[in-house]
Amino acid sequence: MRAYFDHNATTPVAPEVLTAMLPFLGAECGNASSIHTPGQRARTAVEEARESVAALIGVQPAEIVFTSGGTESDNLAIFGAVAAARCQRGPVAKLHVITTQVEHHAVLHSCQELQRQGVEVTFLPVSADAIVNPDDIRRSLRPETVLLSIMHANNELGAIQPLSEISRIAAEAGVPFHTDAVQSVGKLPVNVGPVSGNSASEVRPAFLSLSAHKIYGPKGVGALFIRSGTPLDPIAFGGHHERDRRPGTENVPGIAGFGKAAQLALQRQVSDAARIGALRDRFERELLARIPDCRVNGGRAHRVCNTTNLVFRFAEGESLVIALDLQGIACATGAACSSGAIEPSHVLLAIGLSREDARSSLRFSFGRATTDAEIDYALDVIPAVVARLRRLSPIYSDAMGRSPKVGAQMIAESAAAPSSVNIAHEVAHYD
Amino acid sequence: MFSEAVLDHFHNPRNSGELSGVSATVEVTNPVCGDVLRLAVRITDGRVAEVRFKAQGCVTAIASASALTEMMRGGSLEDLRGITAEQIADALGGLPPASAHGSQLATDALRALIARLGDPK
Repeated sequence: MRAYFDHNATTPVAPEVLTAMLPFLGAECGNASSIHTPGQRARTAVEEARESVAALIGVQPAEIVFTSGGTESDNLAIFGAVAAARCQRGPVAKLHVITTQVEHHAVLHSCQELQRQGVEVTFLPVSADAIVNPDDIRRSLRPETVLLSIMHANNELGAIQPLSEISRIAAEAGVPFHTDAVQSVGKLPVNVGPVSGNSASEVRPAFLSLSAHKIYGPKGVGALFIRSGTPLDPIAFGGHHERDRRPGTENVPGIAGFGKAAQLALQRQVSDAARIGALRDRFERELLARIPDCRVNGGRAHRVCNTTNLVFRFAEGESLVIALDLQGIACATGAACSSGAIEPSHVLLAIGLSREDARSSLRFSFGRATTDAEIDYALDVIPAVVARLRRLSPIYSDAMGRSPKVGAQMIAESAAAPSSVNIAHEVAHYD
Repeated sequence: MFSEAVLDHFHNPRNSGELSGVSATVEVTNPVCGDVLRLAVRITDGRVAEVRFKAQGCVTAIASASALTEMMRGGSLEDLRGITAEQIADALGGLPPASAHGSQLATDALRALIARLGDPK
């Protein structure tokens, strides 16, 4: 059996999405900037997709700019907003940006680059539930603050930030607010348009990043919502596409697929979330019951429906991922030596995990195609794989020797007292 | 990403577990990535009669330890001194640079073990 539990990394393209894309990978070859018939057919497809993506988040089509994906959207919002502020305030003005320690690298690394360029950046800490304290944001605001970038749902934990309050703080301070909503859109209703009249629950960011391939669309396409009237300078140059905000020939098949994926998400997100949430909760509950020394990372209250992140002490993340992969189960870990990432996840460290526990953590993210049978299969396989790796662990046998409450059968006999030799290696190659 | 040999040793580790009547046991850690390797041998008539390892770490660290134990069995102290990280990597079908620290941890454990055998106390 194969079970794909890595939907936060990417989702399979929905069949309807593929159908929507195929004409534009074949006979429909026009450039959406061309005025002839093939060009205008491509233009129509792009504009229809823009309407669908706008409808998904309750905004105007003219406020949607297509990009190459969530990472570019984050870069455009951050560097574009800071560049606009630089233009307004002058080349020597001090500029300040506020973000959190648990952002996706697309935001985190962009903000680190801003620092290198002389912009001051505050990286706010989060609670053990990975939630930022709105009062910390209030206290961090300065006259020179030009952007607030705070994610909606966290990719590793699923934690949902209190965006309505953050949105209010940003509005009161008159600071543009960007949110990376790549991991929330399609998993819960996200409506950032002019709404309801219930101002307490309104979320009104100036910028919001989306990605197609997290909502059963194709890879290589995303969007940035830019609220009408918000200053933003382009960060790339070379054409008048996307109302002068993002140059380059539109990725017509990708955008057409994104539009269809957005339509499906709008239709299905509420019922999908109920079903997937029930699967996630059962998976989590039964796994915790079956595996000792296992617990959920982060909070369980404010989370997207599809994500769980668990620590399996005495087993290492990369080994768990590969051992599960050999049994057909795909999941994720923050640090995998083989991928060059030997540092444990910055998100898990930010919520207070030890480096050891961060290294022993796995993320399971479920999706539209996840079945009860897959969950059952995983509930059989994962405890066995964890037990196998723990039997191999010298730390586990020592720990169990000291505390016999869990399975003394794991330990054969105690070896001669080992010496501890600590050797630091220079690991030169990891990029 | 991983060679078949690495996956084979990882999935079916050779000589894993505890050992009784050991001549020497060492435990080494790589603080950079947190890998831990414990290596134990029983020497009979100057040769490795039994060897066992336990490891908590990445795939390559476990596979390297497993491959090392195969190379150690039956060897004299002199043979053990001749085992290098490169030989372990070769036995695993070659290791990419990002994973080379796995074979390094194995040889670190071996060096510590040889030192312990030469100076038992």
